[in-house]
Amino acid sequence: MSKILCATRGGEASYRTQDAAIALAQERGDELLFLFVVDTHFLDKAGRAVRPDVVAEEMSRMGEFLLAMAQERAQKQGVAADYLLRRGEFRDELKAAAREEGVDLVVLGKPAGTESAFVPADLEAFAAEIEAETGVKARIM
Amino acid sequence: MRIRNRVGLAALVLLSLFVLLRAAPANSGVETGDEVTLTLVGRVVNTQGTAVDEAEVRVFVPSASSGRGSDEETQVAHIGADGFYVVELTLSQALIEAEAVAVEISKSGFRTTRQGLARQEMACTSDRCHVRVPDVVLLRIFNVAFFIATLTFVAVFVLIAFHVLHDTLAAFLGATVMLGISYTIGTFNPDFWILGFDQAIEFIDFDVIFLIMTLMIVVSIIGRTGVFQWLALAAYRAARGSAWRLAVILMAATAVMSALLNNVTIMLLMAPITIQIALMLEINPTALIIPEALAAEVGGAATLIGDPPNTVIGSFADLGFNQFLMHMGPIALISTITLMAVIYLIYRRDYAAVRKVPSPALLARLEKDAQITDPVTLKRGLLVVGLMMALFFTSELFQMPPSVVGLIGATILLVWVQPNVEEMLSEVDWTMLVFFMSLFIVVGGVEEVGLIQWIADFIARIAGADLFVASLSVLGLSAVASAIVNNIPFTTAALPIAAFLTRTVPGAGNNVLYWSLSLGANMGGNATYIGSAPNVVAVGVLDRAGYRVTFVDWLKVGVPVTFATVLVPSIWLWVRYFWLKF
Repeated sequence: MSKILCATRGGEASYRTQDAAIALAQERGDELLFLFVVDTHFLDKAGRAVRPDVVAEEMSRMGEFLLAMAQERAQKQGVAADYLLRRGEFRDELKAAAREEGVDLVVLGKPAGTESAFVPADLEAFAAEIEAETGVKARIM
Repeated sequence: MRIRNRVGLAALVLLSLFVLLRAAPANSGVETGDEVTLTLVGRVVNTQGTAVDEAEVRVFVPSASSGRGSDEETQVAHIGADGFYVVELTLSQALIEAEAVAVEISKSGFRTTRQGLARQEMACTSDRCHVRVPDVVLLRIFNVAFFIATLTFVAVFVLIAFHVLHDTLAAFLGATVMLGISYTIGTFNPDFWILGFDQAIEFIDFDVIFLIMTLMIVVSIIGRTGVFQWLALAAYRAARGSAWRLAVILMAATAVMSALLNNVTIMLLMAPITIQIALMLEINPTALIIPEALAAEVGGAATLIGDPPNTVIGSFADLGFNQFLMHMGPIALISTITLMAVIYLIYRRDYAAVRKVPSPALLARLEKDAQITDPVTLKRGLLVVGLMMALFFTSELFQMPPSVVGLIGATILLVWVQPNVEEMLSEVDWTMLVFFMSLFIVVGGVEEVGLIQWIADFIARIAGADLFVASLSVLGLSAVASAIVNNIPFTTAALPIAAFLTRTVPGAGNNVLYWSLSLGANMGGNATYIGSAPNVVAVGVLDRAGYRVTFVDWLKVGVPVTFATVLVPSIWLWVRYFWLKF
């Protein structure tokens, strides 16, 4: 069984991507692997130092919760899904997961509204970067 | 005979000259007669009546060789921190009688002032005279140091406001520029002297530094027990399926905790679990997280230790824990209720869309994440917090500074719990403490060159003798400024201005201007998400959960909330301090 890697957070934009990935996995008969990356760089803007490891612990719990929601969503559609949580910079961690988890396809959400992490041009460039660096095909949905 | 007559005449002339010279006034420049010890005591102030320290006092008496037109410097003294000086010198009685002694005060950045001493101001015995020299008011001159310090100060604020540099780095840079210029060019040309290192150290308020540091230690120990996450889940249970009730409980709990503990830590630990609760209930997490962050800032206004601006105000104006609670407590309560009302109007549709029966699997996960992980430490932590509260309430009886209360609490907790000390101390926000120290120096620098005094004079001219206008000016200015710049540097810079107005505006002795400053600084920070640290944390955590809040998104909630939470308590201020006056 092939594996699809779907990076996710929460919010409406992520739900749309999750649904598209679930539909694709159903169609191909693939297994889904949801990824959440814990990134605490926003603390730099807080103006006050807090131990990043303590915050990362809390953010990891939140990430696991979001992943569990995505898993529940996939299972309701009859798709086998697992999840993976990593800490670090999003782009690096996504590429590392694509390499290490033996996936066949990486699914990226198409930018929609203000909640997307990428603008369209950036996302296309990032998809090309994934393919070039990991040899795994990346699809924008 | 002729010769004898001539000799006799010469002797007579000499004798006459001698007598004439003895009888001549002392301004002839020739010191004659008995000597007395003259003690001069005086004080030097600026136009606001504040002591001017580190000025030089020179005492001049007429030169014996060239008369009164050319005075001779006899004594030099330096003025202490309280603005007082004492000079003792020995003079002839004739010089004192002739009122020929003058005192000259000089300091870089001020106009040199000379004052003659009148005989009637002296109290004399046979060999000693004492004089209390009338207070000398030194007038400012805007020298090069003034403009350099002002530019540095403005640059620090711009760097902070536009996030060009980290707050701490910006303040550190400002302090270094001021001290660096003073000790390089300022050494050769006094016009470039801003402030010395000893003065800079005196400007750092170590009561504030120690209090914040020790409270951080206490919060970091308690925060590791899982209590904040447990509280968030308890709020969910108490809400019994109502999202609006949940929002109210979360806002109330955050406001109360923020009044006693560091609100950034509270937000960092509560926000992720609050997002999970919101997602489980299928409501937009922003409808819970943003109100929580706003409540953290509003609740922090209630006490001396709730928010750094209050700690700075309390230490500067010598306002104790009880005074803060008595005056700011009702204001924070009114603001919290107002906040809840505005939040309901903004998010009522989101609250109505709540999912009544959450997924059992997600609820089970949530319960697992929100457990008390270390009940023993929590019990000890709560006991120590209770002890600290008791000490804060009674600290005025012992004249105990708040920092000592914090030190006692943190030390007891560290000894009792015995955590990994290095780990615990690494949770102290040293970056923020360095920010505070550097900021105190920067503000001290502009105070030293007269900028703060100039601004205070300007506001005093606008407000005149009207305390209500002064109060509104301070409140409005602090609210607007705190929305744009971090409220800590603004409050630190505005305090000497509020202090001046409190001294000069009739009726301001009730400290209403300090309460206005605190209200504006705390509530104003809520208008933008860069205005306060809990807001930045809220936006950061929401973004990581996939809910991006833009600057404009925040303004849509922050501006009406700020407007309401400033306006409604202002009415209370007017009723309490201007109408009923209690």
